[in-house]
Amino acid sequence: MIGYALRRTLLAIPVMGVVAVIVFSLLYFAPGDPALVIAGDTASAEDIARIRHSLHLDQDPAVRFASWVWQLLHGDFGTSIYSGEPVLHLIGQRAGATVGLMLLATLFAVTIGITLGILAARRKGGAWDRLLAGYGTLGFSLPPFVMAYILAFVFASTLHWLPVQGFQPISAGPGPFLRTAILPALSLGIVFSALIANVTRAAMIEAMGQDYVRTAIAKGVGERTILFRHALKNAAIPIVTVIGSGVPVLIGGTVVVEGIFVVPGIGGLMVDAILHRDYPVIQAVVLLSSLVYVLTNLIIDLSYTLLDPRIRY
Amino acid sequence: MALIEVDALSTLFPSGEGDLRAVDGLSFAVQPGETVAIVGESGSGKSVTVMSIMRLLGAATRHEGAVRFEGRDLLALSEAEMRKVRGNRIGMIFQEPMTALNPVQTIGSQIAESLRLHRGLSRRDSRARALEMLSLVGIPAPERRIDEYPHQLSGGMRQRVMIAMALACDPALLIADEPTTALDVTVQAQILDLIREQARKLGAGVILITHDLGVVAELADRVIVVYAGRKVEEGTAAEILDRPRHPYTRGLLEATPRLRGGGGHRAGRMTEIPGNVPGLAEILAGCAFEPRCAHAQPCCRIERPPEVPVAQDHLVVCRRAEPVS
Repeated sequence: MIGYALRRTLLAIPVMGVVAVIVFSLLYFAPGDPALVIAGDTASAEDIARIRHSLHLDQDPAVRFASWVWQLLHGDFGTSIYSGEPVLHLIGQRAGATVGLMLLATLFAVTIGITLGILAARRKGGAWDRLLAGYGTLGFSLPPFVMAYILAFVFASTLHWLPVQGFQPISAGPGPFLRTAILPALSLGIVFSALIANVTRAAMIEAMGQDYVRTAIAKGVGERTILFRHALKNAAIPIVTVIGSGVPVLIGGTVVVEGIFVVPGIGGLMVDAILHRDYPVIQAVVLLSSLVYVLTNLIIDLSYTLLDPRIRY
Repeated sequence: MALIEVDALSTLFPSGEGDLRAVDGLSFAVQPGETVAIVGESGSGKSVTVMSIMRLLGAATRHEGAVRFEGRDLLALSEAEMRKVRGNRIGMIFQEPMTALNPVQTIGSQIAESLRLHRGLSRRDSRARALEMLSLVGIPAPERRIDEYPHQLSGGMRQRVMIAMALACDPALLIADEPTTALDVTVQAQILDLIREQARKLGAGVILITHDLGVVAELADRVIVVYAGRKVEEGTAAEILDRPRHPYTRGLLEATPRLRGGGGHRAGRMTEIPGNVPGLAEILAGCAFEPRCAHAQPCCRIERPPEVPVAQDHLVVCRRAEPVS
């Protein structure tokens, strides 16, 4: 197990290497010259050349890549072209809000998704099952930004239960955080919860049809225990897998949802950076998001051995 | 008094083409300490019969008749009352030890579960009792095995665990649905011995479902031969195996492979019963076996055959059988 964990962690290194190459080549393949954008319309040829030089754009790409990676390995993500601040500092300022939002969205999605999935699986074609079918269709067909506007309209503008803006970080206390984070987290989490609910339903229906469930019934075990102790643990692997695969969906969604609810998070930073061709920031955010994704998958893979004793590495 | 009395049990599965009658008015009783084998080929309704007794079939299934057990009709119990019977008063062993055990729970916790449920034992006491059950069913090194998962055990060991689970609460009735079908021949005899020995120790009645007449000879006191959900012959194991009267029972015996041609049957080529078991949707006014029967007469098709006692403890449901004088 520990050996497998080590091997998996080592395997993540070449994956991150490939990501680094792609992220780096963005600078060369993306349209628009950063030096031109930064210099503005009135800049002279010398100004542009000077900016190109300061960005090391005049160097050989291979040399630049090597020095970039070298700096990254020392924890140096460079300096923002636009604001002049260290990239890591900018990300550090804004990571809290995004991480808080994503965790809250995941909590919503997992709770709603698993509960709804189990209730639907209990009786195929029953009231809960039909509710899930409707919820799933709605969840999948409404992109997060539409969901965000609907939620904001209903709960903020019409009912005045929650504010639309004025996001408070967790450091401001759980009350203010929840009040301002619920709507963005729900907008993010509903699609995700529909995904989890559908997978939970299918996995539970399969587990409930297995012989060992019949054995448990023949032992006199009640329905609740059968659902949670016997079936859910057997259904856990696909459920955990879908939770892991939802993380990139969340990362993508947070960019849009942060914009709507004016959350000072990574999403906003990313949008600004793209608009200003602020490559060091873009590269750092993409690289870190990939790292989060790789780590999530690593944790999920390792969790399989805890969930199913038959899986041993 | 009989331990369990199945009285005119019918099991009906609703379907688009009307109810499918998998068990059709089956009656039999099991005395305390007695082993009764229900024998028939695939699709004869023998498994459905015991699933009906335990009420393990889906909510859509309908039952007719009665299953009297310890003074109550199991078919009339509420689901909560039925749960107190299952695993407690009636233990059940299934055919597939590979899939009938939960793969993600240790065998110890699976045995302990019914003890905690029905006996209210603590975690510690139920574990101690589970350990006791494991050594009782002949699992070597039970202290180590108790924390293992089903996939770490062989098929025979898993079936021993199933037996330990079924017997944990000292049930009055043990139902074994093809308990040795999925096992190696070398292991089969051990498992049959174990069932016989443990049932005798508990004084429990046993309902044994099998299509294997070797198992019947090994274990059963009495035999009920079923065909298309109906009883066709019933008698002591010796009577049925040595003097089968119903054409279907004879066919079954002749279709059984033998190494030595004992028992008065011919030792040469195996024979088979021509034709197939009728579909559940077919309405059979007369004898269900009539379409495949070499001795059928026109009247067999029209009227249900009567139960004819042909010897003491031996009755045949056939128009062509001659009653004892």
